[in-house]
Amino acid sequence: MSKITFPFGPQHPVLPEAIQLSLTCEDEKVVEVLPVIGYMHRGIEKAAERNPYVNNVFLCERICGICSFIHALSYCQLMEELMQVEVPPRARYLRVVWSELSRMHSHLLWLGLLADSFGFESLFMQCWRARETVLDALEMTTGQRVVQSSCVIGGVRRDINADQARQLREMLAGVKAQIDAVLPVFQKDYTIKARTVGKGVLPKDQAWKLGAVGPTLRASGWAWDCRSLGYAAYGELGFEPVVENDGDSYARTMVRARELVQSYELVLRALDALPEGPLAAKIKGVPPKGEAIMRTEQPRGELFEYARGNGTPRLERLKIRTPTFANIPALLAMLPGCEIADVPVIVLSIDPCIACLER
Amino acid sequence: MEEIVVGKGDLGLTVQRLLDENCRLATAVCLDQGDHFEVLYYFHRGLDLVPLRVKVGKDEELPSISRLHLPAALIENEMKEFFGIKITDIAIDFQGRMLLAENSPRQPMCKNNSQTATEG
Repeated sequence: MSKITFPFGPQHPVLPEAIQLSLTCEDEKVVEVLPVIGYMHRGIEKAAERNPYVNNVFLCERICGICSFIHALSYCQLMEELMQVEVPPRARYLRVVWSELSRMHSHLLWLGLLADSFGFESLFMQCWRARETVLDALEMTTGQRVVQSSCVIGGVRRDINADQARQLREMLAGVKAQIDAVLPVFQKDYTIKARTVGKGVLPKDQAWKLGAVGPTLRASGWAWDCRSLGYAAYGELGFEPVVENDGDSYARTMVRARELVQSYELVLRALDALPEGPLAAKIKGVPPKGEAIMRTEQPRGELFEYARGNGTPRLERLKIRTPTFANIPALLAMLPGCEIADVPVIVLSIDPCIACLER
Repeated sequence: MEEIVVGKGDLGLTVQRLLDENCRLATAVCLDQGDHFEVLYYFHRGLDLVPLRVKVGKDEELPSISRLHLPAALIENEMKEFFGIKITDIAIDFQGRMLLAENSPRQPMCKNNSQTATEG
């Protein structure tokens, strides 16, 4: 049978950002895939070498508008590691609150996009309505809905007082009720299962060997989550990774669905245990010198950062490896053998963030 | 985190040994050290990391590890584009056009390059 090669993207209804996959097909079956990227590269690592290291917090949180808080957190923790700064306990707990709110809004956004990808517009709107409340909660506690700018090297810039904590609990109770209403649809609906079960299967050994991270890896049976490293206050909040075993698009959906509830519980636990004390440590001494690495868990998986300082206010090197970058080889392995009609859902199932991928 | 330092001739064997121990590549970091490059490969061993450091002269070739471990291909392409490091035999070679466009600055991450000027 003759083969035909055609582009999927960079503009496609299912793609929130620009990426192209060059699909080679025999009839309706995909036999080969190559990524074509570079539409959104902004040279952020280069820009980071030109800024004073303190200003890079603002640069890093603009890598992506969905997980912006965790980008800032990772960079701050990286600098704290390099400069041996001890972050006050209250700041560590507040960092967990904002990280998990970010994860909630990211997963709700993704569930909505998935629903939209197979034409469930009402379900899409229900997910995004719940997400709006999470964004409202971020705005109430940080002053910003998208780029929060509440993380600084040494701690956090803003506090959550008792009244805000009460309001946050009330808002999240409303979000939880909305989540409880939509999740059974994702879990049980015939059409959703028909579109996701057995689609884009990533076996357990392949998931590891191809470098998959985050829900893409955990849906293939790996209890592997950087929050298990215990950074910020995760080590004190009884965190356990969410794992599914089937490795298909449905399993990846279920990991994110269960993580939504887990994030809600982590926010409440962090608020319950929020210690009194200062919000940030004072930064003293010379600018960063030496090498350090930092890993955090973004909604899409492990974010890896490396920095090398030379004792001047500007870093010699900042390397950022985002989770979508790590998940591309796994995506390329999921697609061969699938029908063309399943490509959009399988691509979405890794929750690709192209702004992160290209930086 | 115990670091492994090898010469470029031993890179393939060392990477194969790590892969046999069920490690996988997390990422690699290229550093421009003036007269040479340093490449730091970080491997996942469970949740831990194993760093592997290789030095390579600016006019020397560095063999790709992507034939041993496909996920290395994207990061090797990025290092080649951004630093001009001569990585040979990459499993999927974008020929310097993975992230950068035709009229982008060449090797923009090199320190000694005035670089941000475009070619041609």
